[in-house]
Amino acid sequence: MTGPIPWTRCAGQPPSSDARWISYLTADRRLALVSDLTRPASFVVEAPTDEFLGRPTASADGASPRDPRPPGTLSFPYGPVTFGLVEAGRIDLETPGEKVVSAVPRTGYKHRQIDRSVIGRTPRDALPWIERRVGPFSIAHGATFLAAAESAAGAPVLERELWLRALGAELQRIHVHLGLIGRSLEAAAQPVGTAQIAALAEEIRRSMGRWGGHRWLFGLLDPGYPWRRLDRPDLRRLAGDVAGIRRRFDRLWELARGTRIYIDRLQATAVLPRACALALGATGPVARASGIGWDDRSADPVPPYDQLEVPPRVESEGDALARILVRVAEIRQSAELIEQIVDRWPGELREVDPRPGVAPGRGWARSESPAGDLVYDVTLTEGRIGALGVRTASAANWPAFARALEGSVFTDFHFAWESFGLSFAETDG
Amino acid sequence: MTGWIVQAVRRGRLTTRFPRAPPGEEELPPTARLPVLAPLPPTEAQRRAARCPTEAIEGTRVDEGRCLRCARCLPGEAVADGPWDHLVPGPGSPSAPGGDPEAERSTSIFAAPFLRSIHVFPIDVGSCQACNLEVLALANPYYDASRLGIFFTPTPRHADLLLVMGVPTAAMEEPVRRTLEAMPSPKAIVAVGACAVSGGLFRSLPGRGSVGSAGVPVVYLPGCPPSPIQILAAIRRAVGVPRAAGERP
Ligand code: SF4
Ligand code: SF4
Repeated sequence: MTGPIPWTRCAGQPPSSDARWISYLTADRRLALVSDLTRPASFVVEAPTDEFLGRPTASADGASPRDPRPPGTLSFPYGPVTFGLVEAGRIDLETPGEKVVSAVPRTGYKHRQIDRSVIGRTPRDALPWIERRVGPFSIAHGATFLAAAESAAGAPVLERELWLRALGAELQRIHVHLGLIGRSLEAAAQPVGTAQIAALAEEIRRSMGRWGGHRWLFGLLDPGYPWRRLDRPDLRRLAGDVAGIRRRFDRLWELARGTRIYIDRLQATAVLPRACALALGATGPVARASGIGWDDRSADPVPPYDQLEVPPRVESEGDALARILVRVAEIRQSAELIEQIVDRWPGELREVDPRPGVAPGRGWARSESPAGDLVYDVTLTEGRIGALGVRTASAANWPAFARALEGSVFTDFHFAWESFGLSFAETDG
Repeated sequence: MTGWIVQAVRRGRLTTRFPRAPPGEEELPPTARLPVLAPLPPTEAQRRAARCPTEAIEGTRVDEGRCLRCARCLPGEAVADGPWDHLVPGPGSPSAPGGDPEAERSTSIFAAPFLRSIHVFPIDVGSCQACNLEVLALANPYYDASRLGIFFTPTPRHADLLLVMGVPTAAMEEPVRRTLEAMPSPKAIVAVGACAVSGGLFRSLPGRGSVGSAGVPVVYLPGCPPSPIQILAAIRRAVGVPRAAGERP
C-alpha cells in the first residue's frame, strides 16, 4: 500500500448498535487506560501504539502500512511548550506541506500520580486530589469518585448531595463549553467575539465564586465545606446569573453563526465519521457530533437525572462545526437543567441507595463529564481507598482526535483541537 | 463585524477599576481571603493540622505557600476577611501570622522597573488547568491586562516574565530549561499557585523540580488557583510598579 492510509478507514469492526457500543466502551481495550498504579515514578512520555490509535498495525515483513510517506514529509513535535494548546502536552505531526498525514498525541508530561496519592486515604480526605486532576471538571471527577466510593461502601447518600453534584456539574459544563467556543473564535481571528465569550466565561466563574466560595468549586462536595449555600434565595440568585449568561450567549451565538469566516473554518474540518467514532470508542460531545445519541445523563441516569429530561444533543456531520454545535446546544440544555434543579431542589432530607457494587468493597460509578463518559472504579479496604481505576473521557477520545486530524489541512489544527476539547491534565492524572 | 461591535458596545465597560481602586467583592471569592494566617492557640493549631491535606500547618504557623485555601481546617462558619495580596518569600518558609513584610518589600525583581510594557509567556509544567485559565483570564475584558502594559507573547523569545503554572514534573524539566534559555535577559519568573510555589498537593511527587532552581529571580504567588486579580497584582509587583490602591504597603 502506498501513501497514507485513507483517513476514513478505521481498524476494527464497528459494533452493530449503540447498545453494543456501550459494552464495547466498558469492555474493550480502552479500559487498559484505567490508571495503572504500577506506572513507574519517573513516568516516561510515550507514544501510543498503532493498535491503540486504531490503525492497521505493521504487516508481517515489519513494514508499517502507512509507509512510505510522500516525499518531503516533515515531522515535527507541537509542544510540550506552546501558547496554543494552553497545556503541557505534545502532538507529533507529520506533513508533506499542507495535509497532515499523521498525528500522534504524546501524553504524560503532566503525570502527577494522583491515583497513587489517594491510596490509603478515606474518600473524603482524597477529594482534594481527585478534584485537582482537572480543575475545570472538578465536580464531575469529585462527584463520580464519591459515587463510586459510596457504591463500594454500600452506604446510602443524602439525595440533596446528588442534586448538589448535578448542579455543580452543569455549571462547569457551561463553563467548559464556553471556553472552547471562545477559543475556536480566537482561532478564526474574531477578537471581539473571543473577548465577549471570554467575558461570559469570567461571569460564570464569578457566579460560582459568589455562590460556592471558589471560582472552580474546589471543596464544594465536602459536607463540611463552609460555603455551601443551599438555601432557596442563594440558589435562585445563582439560577438568575445563569439565565442572564445564557441570554447573552444566545445573542453572541447568533452573531457567530452569521460570521462566514468562522463557520467556513469549522465546516468539513477534522471530520470523524460515525463508523470511526464507534470503532474508536469516542465519547461525549465528540461522539454525539458524529451521530451517536449517547449521553450518560439520559442513557444511564442516576438521581437527579432520572427525574429530569435530558435528551442527548446530537449532530450528524462529525466535523468541527458539529462538535461546536453540540456544545452550543448543551450550554442551553445545562442552563435549563440548572433552572429545573433549583426549582425542584429537595426540601426534606431523604436518603437514596447508591449503585450496587461489583464485589464486596468494590464499587463503580459513571457520569457525563463535560468531555464525555467518566468512570471511576473504587475499592475500599476498611473505609480507605485500596485501589482506584479511572477511565476519563479525554483519554478515550485521543484515537478519534488523531484519526480526525489525519487528512486535514495543517491550519485546521486549532479548530480540531478546540472542538474536541481534550485535556492533557485529565489524561495524565 | 458591525454586529459584534454593537454587541460589545451594548455591554459597556466591564473592566475592573483595579489598580486605581481596590478589587471588589466579585473579584475575590471568599476562598481567596481565607484568614488562615491568623495567630492560633496551640491546641487549635493541632486540631487544624490534623485536617490539612498539604501539611501546611507546622506548630502554630501556616506555610502560606503550601496552603490551598481549601478551608478544610476551618470551622463551618469561616469568615473570609484575610489579606488578598500576599506573596510568600519562597517554598517551605512558613510565614509569620500576618505575612512577611520584609519579603514583600523585596519583590521588585528586575534591577530597573519596567516603566512601559512587559511581555509575559505562560508555561504549564504540570497543572490541573485551573491556574492556566486564570492566567489567560487576564486577557478577558474584565481584567484587560494590556491596558496596564502587560502583554501575552506566543513565544518565549519575546518574553520578559515567565508565568509558571503547576507542579514541575520531571518530564517538564528540560522543556522549562530550554524555555528559560530562549528568553532574553533580564528575565524573571512568577510562580503562579501552590503547585508552582511549593508543590502544593503534589509536594511528594518523585522527581519534582523547583521553580527557584534555575537561578532566575522568582516571585511566589500562593493560592489554588490564585484569582486573576491576584495574578495581576503579582505581575505588577514583579516588575516593580508602585503599589496600587488596596494593596498592602
Ligand atoms: S491547605 Fe486547607 S487545611 Fe491546610 S491550612 Fe490551608 S486552608 Fe487549611
Ligand atoms: S495550584 Fe491548584 S489550581 Fe493551580 S495547578 Fe495546582 S492544583 Fe491546579
